[in-house]
Amino acid sequence: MFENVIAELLRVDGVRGIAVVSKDGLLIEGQASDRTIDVENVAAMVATIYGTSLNVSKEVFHEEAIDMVTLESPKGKIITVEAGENAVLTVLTDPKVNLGLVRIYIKRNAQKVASML
Amino acid sequence: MLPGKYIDVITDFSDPLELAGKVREGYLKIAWKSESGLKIGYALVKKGKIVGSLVEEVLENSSISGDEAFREIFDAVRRNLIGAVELYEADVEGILKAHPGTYVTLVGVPSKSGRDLESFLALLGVYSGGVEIQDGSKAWEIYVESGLVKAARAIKGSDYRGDDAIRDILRETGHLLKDGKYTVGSPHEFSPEDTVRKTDLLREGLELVKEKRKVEKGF
Repeated sequence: MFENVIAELLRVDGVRGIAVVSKDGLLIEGQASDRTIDVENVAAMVATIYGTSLNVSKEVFHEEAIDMVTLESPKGKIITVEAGENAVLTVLTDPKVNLGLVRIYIKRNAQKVASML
Repeated sequence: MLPGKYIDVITDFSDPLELAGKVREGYLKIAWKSESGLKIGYALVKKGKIVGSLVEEVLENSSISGDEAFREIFDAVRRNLIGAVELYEADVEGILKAHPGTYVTLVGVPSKSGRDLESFLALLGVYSGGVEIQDGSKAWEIYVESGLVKAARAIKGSDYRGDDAIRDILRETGHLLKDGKYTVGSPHEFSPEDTVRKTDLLREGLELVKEKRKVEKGF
């Protein structure tokens, strides 16, 4: 169902994997261009990271919404945004990806996912 | 990737290509997973008609265009691989000028089932597989491969096979235009007697019928 979203994001230079994940950690749909990435595993961990970030936001900023969660490591980045009430959209990238471009695409496609769920 | 302004994404449809009617000038963007990988297809639309087509392999960085691409899109539609259709507004003339290979010469929007001659002719141009044609009292099965009818037989009302079955269909066009319908599907196995030698006879015959109707309407 989300092939359109996955295909558009996978074509962005430096993007290695995409996952549409329910907030309780189940992979709804995903694909990676790199076979070493286990998208299902990533989905479960991303939901945890997103949930924890939301709690931090509530505790520190007294704000119950977050725009984006970004995890940066020397080997790559994981960017996650909310996609509707019950899901998040996650993009896994190379370390030197054009982050501005990825942000534009992930936001645009998160809206599509939200309208499709 | 083609330029354009995103309008909407639609998941509730019976036939994705019928959404062409919702686009005045732009394209339908679809994606699907096939045996060979993830693909993005674009069907360029002008005044509700599909005029151009492009299919890209997402991870291979390769593409095909024109009639060949449209056949692949229709095949994905027929196999129900499309979960969502994105609608875009775009300068279609500009895209066609910049990428002349994307022109689709087939006319009309093919449909997996229908009652009108135009959509049946469009189907013949893009489809590979079985089609059942029926009017009130007679029915036939044909096997099509990229616009050519390779096999045919009557399954109700007569027992014609091969070229004779095609001639039988053409003789019945009067009834078919009134009460006929067609549906794509998996045919029963065809036998050597069902082989059609004049593989473009049905298309040519129906094109003539279409022209005749145009002339009659003109008067």
